[in-house]
Amino acid sequence: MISKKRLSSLFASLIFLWATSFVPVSANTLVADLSLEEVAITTDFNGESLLLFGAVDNAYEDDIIVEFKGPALKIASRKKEQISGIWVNRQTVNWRNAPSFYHLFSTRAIDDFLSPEQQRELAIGYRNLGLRPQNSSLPAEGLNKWIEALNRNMVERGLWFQHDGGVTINRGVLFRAPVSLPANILPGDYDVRVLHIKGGKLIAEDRTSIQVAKRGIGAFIYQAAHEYSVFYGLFAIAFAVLAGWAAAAAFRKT
Amino acid sequence: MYIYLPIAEVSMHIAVVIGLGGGIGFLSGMFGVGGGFLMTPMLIFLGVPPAVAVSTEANQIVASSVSGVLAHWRRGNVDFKMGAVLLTGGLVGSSLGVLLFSILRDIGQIDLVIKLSYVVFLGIIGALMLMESVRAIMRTRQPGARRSKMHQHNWMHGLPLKMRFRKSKLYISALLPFFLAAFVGVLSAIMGVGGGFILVPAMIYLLGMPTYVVIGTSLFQIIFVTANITLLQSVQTQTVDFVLAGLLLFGAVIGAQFGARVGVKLRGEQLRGLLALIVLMVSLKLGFDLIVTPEDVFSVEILK
Repeated sequence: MISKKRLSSLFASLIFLWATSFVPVSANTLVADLSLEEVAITTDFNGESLLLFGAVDNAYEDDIIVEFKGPALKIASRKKEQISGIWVNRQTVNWRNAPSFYHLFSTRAIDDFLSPEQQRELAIGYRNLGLRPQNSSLPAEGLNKWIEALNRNMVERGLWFQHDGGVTINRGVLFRAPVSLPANILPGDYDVRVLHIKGGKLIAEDRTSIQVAKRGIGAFIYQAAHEYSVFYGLFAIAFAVLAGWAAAAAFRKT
Repeated sequence: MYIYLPIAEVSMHIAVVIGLGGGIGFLSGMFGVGGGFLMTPMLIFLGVPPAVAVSTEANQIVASSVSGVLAHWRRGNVDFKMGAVLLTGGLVGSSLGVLLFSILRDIGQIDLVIKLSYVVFLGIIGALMLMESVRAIMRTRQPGARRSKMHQHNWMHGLPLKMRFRKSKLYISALLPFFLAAFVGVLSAIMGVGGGFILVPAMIYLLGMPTYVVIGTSLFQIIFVTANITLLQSVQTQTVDFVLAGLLLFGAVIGAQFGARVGVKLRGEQLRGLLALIVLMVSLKLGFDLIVTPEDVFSVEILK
């Protein structure tokens, strides 16, 4: 699955490169990079701060948008209704392509320099992610309500976030955006897109990516639990029996 | 110092985890209960996914039951024959419970069922315990009053498959303890508890077992039921976090020693009354959560 997805995105970017090679060469370049090559979820992991930085041409009066997007996982939204006094989950929407992480940084409020149509064209913002439910077909108005709710819930968990003023440009050339990844971040490939906007138009773009991966003992335990689950279960039981016996023995003497 | 729990996939301060184990260990040492009914809701409250909380707590209860049963075994207070019948039922029930748990999780109703089970069963047990201990406290003030007949003959004694349980001094149908343990097994798997709080009173009042063999025998069967849940959840849902279980256990072992020391200073009926109040409070808190209008009627769940 993943390799197929990767292949298709590689293919898409190749087409993109081929297409852009016909566009007259402009002086607008944009280069972005991250201060880390990988985010390692180790035993003492409690979130990670990193810096997205780069160089841009003549951006004295312009704007920059940084989109940090995590892997699309199985995400379900649920709506509660009151049934004889008790709040019960009644409706479920399984999202087909909702990112598990979506942080958006910009030099100022995006609505101030891009119209809703322009934002849609550039696929900027959670409203323009093309979110679709997997199961039911909701009417457009109902769908919007669910998308707004998803955004609220994800913002509350720190997984989705929009930071106006999160990008600063220094002397029209250097830009930087501090990114803080919360502790509840999930492993996977994170894609970063940086857009240079001038007068409502995209004039330069760069993409990079970073892997968030479990490392160390935690990764080993996770792997053991998933790949050798029977042994893991038996080990957990043996560990508990031994620990219980040791505790009883230790406190019997005192 | 924060620790990233590898299966729960949450980061918690190590002092919080050990402190939680210690605090609940203290209460369980003081009252002589397992403490699962306090630990599982607390873990969920602290952000551990419900499935991980329930499976991990089963793993921890294996350890606390082993350490508890040894003392009873030494004194010869375990009815192994009764235990064998109970654990057969318990294994069937807990296997069904694990299956039920994953179905409920898939349809998004597991939170509701966990909370409802807590409200109903803790509510009933807590209320009964409170009434009993109030009555006991009243009785100590007017000596001479004696409890009436404890062992009554009714329809349950007409059931087939009668078995003799020498240690428990009983001649009853094996179906009775089997179905009792099966029922408690289902609850164990769903609520993340050992089930002693239902099993112990049921063994005394329903089966008519003598009190001195009840705790050892119930602990004996809880080991197997929770081990079964640990194994099944490991294989089916990979939700057993033994790092979390180990840390909780570490705290609980120490807490239980201090709790036991405080416990011996209090009188039995006072202890039971206090425990009843805690049980009722947990039940009311969870019941309140179900009734009060949520801040947001929408919620999100990342299933992966």
